[in-house]
Amino acid sequence: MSSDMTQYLAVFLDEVGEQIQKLEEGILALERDHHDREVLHSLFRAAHTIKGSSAAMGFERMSRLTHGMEEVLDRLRKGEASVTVEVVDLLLACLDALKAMKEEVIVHGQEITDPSELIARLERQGCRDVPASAGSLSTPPGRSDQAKGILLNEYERRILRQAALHGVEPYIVTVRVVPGCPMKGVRAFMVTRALEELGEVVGSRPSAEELEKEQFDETFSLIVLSHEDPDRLRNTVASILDIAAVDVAPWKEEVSQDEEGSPTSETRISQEPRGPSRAPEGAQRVNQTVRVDVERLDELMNLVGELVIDRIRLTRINKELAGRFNHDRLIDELMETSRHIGRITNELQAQIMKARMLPIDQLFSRFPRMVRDLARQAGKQVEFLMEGRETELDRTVIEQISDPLIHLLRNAVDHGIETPEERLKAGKPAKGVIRLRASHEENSIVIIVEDDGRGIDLDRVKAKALALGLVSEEQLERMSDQEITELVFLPGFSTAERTSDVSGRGVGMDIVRNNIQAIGGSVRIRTQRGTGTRVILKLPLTLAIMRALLVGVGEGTYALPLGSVQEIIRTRPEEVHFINQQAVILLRQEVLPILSLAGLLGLDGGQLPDGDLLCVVAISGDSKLGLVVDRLIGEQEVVIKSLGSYLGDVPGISGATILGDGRVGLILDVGRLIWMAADSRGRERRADRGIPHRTASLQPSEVVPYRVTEEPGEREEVGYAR
Amino acid sequence: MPGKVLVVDDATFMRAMIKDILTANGYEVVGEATNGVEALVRYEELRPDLVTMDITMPEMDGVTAVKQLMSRYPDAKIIMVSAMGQQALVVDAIQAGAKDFVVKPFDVNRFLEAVRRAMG
Repeated sequence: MSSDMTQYLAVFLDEVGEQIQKLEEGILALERDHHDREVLHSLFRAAHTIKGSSAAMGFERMSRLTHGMEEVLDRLRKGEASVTVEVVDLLLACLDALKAMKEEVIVHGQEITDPSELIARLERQGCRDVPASAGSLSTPPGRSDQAKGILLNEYERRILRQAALHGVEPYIVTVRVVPGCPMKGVRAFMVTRALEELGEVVGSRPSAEELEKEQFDETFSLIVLSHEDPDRLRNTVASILDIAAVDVAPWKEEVSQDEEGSPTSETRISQEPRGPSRAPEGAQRVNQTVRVDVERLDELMNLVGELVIDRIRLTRINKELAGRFNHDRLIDELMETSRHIGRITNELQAQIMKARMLPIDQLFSRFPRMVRDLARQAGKQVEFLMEGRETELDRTVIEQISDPLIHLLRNAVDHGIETPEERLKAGKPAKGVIRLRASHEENSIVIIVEDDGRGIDLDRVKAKALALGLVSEEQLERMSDQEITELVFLPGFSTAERTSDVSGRGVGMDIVRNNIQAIGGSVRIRTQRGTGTRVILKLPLTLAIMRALLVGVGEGTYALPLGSVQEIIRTRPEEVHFINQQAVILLRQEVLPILSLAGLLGLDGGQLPDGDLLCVVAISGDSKLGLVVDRLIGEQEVVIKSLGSYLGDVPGISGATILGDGRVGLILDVGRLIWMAADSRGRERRADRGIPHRTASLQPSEVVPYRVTEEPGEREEVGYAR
Repeated sequence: MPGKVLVVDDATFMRAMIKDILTANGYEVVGEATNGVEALVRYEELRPDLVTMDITMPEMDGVTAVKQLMSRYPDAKIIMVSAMGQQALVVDAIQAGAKDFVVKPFDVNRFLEAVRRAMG
């Protein structure tokens, strides 16, 4: 690579990364359908692109390898050779080599992997004879049905009518670009621009927007008003590069057959032979986009957050004013204005949220290959299905769920799906199914990882939990199957007897749960012996704004994420019982420990107030805790602000927000609070900054005694297994 | 009709290639520039018949350079040399007065055709 090319390196690597992704998706698609010609074309293009740019950058090995791939793919797409499992494996091997080379370029500035052997294999593949039945050779893409006419809208018709009154000739200019014309959208723009110098372009088919987005094959039409003669128009357009043919004809109006009788304002224009072929239904839309620095979006979100806060304050002031001066016209007006601002702010917030959203496919697209490789290594047959890839969620959420999802999928392959023999013995098809589904559910996103494997062995979970001293026999007896299943979420837990090299890398189900809870989500497991396991992740749409319950303790106001609030109850003093000095109440036959929030936060000694108790039942995972508060303030949208690094990690507090009256409210970290409450030494530990954050989210002490986790290094294999 | 050309591109590789193509076809490459600012300076100094202009360049990008050039020299003839996916920028450049564009990796004949038309 010459020194002057270094500045292209980043661009080059980016592009190679994209193309590698395309290759990967394409090869896997090819594995499913050996005859998908579209895929072959796109694979060919990807290989071709890498070949060209790597050659330009001087990465000769990469270029040689992609050249070999291109040759093979070219023969495949022309039907001169057919796709076999062998070919797919070879292409995947090439893909791996490309990935390695890309990494080597990043680290060492040059490729190290020697592609010679692969190239030799590609060449052998390329020479192989075509089976006689190779079948349909590439036929030129069929011209889609040509529209018989062009429908004009009311606006266009009016202009044309107007023009007719002034004796200006309308023409229809039909233009065809050369096949494979690069940036044909820009060519269309140049044609429009050239014609606009000679007259007025009234309309186009497809629409200007579709032209810009290149949603046309090779032909498009423009309706032009001009005093110039047709030849002049034709020659002007023909002088533009990449224009294959131009046709200029006067148009005549003709009422469309279908529209007749209906009070439509549309008119059909008779069409010259070479009509515009409309972009086929479902054709890929090339959206025009602007790249925006993510930080800028975050900054915008922050500003909107400020607006939300002001809006809330405005509403509050308004209410107060309305209380003070009844039915003042100005106050009514103010009310109306602030309501309007409210609506606009909501809309603004929604739009920016949308801009921060990414389709989850960004993450999902990595998985098919991963699952395939894992299954191969484990000697299992797996069909991997994904649904809802287009589901959008906040990019920060996407970043946070990557590791948990990888872990869940690994578990599903390693521990969930049985070997083909086992499956056949159990009367199941040899091939297991793993499903990954994403969907919207009200204000959250639900992701489900599901397998039809052997399910979790509850007896082994029990045995393991006992052996680890996580639960006692009596406790186990009291626990439901669901509760036993969820023991796998305890830190240090694993039933794996045998570890594959992919699971058991220290990311266990406890970490999965902690990661998901850290972003305000929840994890549930449903499992049935012999039938399969389903893990359900429920995630917030965004991490920037949340709905919260505001409560008052002493002078302060605290926000509880609404997702962590189960209910609010009022308890009479005589209903409070004590077990081992722990105050509890019975809530629907269930023992619920209760604690004063002030005490938990170290604001006072923790004694419960006299009289009726106001108790918020907070929930995290399966753990519940009754938090006794002084006041309920209400439900509100709060903008999450970080506490800032100088405050660091304050136990039980996950952030701050600005309240309607301008004061700061603290956002409670419910998982952590429950952990603190469950820890019998919670009060001493609070002062200790050395507490590992979110080491565990625990059942209340009544259900499962807390076990102090070992140092991470000492922790044993923590993948859950059946 | 041969003429004097100023080649603007930040990649030596591209400049060398464009220069070779043009020289081989009877054009005279009178100068090269590696960014928009340099392009303005060299244009003023050399008054070429045609400029080939890369889009993505340090200091000043090609589109800005076209705008500045056209405001000072409305007769300037510029061809954009674009990478794939830069439609919007090419449209900007043409709106600013660029005569034509080619997309990298380009076909030599198409490039020459664009040069010929732009000069004609």
